[in-house]
Amino acid sequence: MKRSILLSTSIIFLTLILCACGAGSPSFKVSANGESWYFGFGAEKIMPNENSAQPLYIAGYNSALSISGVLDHCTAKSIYISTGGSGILLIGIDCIALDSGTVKKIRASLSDIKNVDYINVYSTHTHAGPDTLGLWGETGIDGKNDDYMAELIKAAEACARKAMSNIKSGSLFYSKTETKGMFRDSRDPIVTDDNLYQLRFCADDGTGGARIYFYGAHAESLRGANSLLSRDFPGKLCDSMEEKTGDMCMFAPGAIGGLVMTKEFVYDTTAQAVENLEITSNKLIEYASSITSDMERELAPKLSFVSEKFTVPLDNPAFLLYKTLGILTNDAVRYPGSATGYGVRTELNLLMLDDIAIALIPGEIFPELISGKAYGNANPEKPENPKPLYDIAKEHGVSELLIIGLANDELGYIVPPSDFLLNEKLPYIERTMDHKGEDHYEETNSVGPQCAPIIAETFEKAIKRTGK
Amino acid sequence: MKKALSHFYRTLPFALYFLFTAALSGYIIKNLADIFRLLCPSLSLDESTAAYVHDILYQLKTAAIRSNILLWAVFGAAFGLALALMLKSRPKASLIAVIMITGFIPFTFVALWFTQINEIQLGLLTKTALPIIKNLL
Repeated sequence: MKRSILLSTSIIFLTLILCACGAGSPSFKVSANGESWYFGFGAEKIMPNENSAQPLYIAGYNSALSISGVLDHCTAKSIYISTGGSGILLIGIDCIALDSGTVKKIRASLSDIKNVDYINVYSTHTHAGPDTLGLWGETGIDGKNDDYMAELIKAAEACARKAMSNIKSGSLFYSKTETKGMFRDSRDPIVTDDNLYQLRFCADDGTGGARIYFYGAHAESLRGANSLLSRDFPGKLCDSMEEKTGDMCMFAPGAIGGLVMTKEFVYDTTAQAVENLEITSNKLIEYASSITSDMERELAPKLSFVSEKFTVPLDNPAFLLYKTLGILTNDAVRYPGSATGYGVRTELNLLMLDDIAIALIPGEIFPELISGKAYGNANPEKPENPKPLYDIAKEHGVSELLIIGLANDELGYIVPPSDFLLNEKLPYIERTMDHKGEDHYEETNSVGPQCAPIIAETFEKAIKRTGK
Repeated sequence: MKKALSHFYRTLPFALYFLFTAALSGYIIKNLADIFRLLCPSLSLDESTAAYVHDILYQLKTAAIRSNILLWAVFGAAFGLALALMLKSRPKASLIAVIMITGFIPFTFVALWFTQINEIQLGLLTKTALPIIKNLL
């Protein structure tokens, strides 16, 4: 009798443990090969409520700067990709960034949607859009406009539903073109990814297809004095390419940390901000238009997707305070080893389209962490940098690695450990200069120095899980 | 049964008392902006600074507050039981009242320390923020 009680108790315990392991599974994987690619595309404008009782602040530069007018409205765009079975949704939103709290709300609004294995949400990082993180209000006060956030979530939901209601079969082509003289990297070493990458979905029925452009630069050609609402160059690029090709276009930011932006093409970016935007956009439109079919490579309909959940230590006390005040809505978990006692629970996702890997990274990663070309060395402790993501990808037989930054969460800048330098008196609060006079601003907007190695480790885990 | 009931009666007032301090800590956090407004005249802050601090604290009105109520009740019960065992009898009402009054502020502070605001424990936030505040001053 006693033995049977012991046995049944053990079985119950074992079952409970197994259930718990399954429920808390840290990763998700889907893999499918088909006869053809299937894609759907949707777009929806995000219209600010003019009668909102709250101010609508512009994000990216100054605190509490209200939007004074409109150059162009932000949009939410979505593309659905599959090889015949259920597929993956990519939702790109013209905004500075979204943390996982908002991403969860978008996912929840689409919880009833069928044939979708995973919903990814990223931001184009326009510095002329409304504050969607809450960091650009008065210091310590949420800068988000609740009405705008509700509209943004609604638009994200609407564009995803449109994409799902208009699925076509077709072919998928990959290409890239090198852009020249486009960048300003404001922090040494100067490392940029000069390529403009394109994924083009071509519909079998001859109707309009879809394109995604990937480019590694902050969308801030309007610069800091601007107070006009705009999608910045990603908007102009997409509008123009849609007009030229009849395809629907969306933009994804690449490795933009470090800090990579497009350069000034005018003498005075304050007085000539719109002109700078026009010139920057036109140059990019020219590059995008220069991609011809002979530069394209067709991708076989093989799709796999991995989502890896991970925790990164939160060392930045300002982020902790903003989280406590309810301004930031990232997932916080106890992490005894970190400076604040907390960590951020987040995700890194990997989408494989044939032999092209797209890493969806929850922040603004320095390009050197992708390519390994050169690193700063301001950190006196001389820690080792993680293996560059590009090398990890190559080791696993990936021919091209594309980055979508600010995806599914925002951890801020992802800085190489060897160049991670903090202000001694007020770490993460005040920026500091290194021995070469280099400004270490990015650290004040980062979770901490352990973020980059954990990202690389998680990326490697993800790529291994794809079976590559 | 009688003994168990007796233990229960010994611990119950403290369990309830600790539950009260835990609930109070949540109430304090949610209403920190109003409490600050009440204290403002004695803080000699100028009007704009006071309004700014009020706005920061007002955000806590909608915060997700979590006190570990069960833990507090157990802690209160254990406290009551330990006291009874120490005194070898059920503590008198007058003694309970004295402990509760003198311990009110420290117990509430302890409850505040362990209260979570939007997933962040106030004590850990304080521990993180103190060196920064020290360096800022």
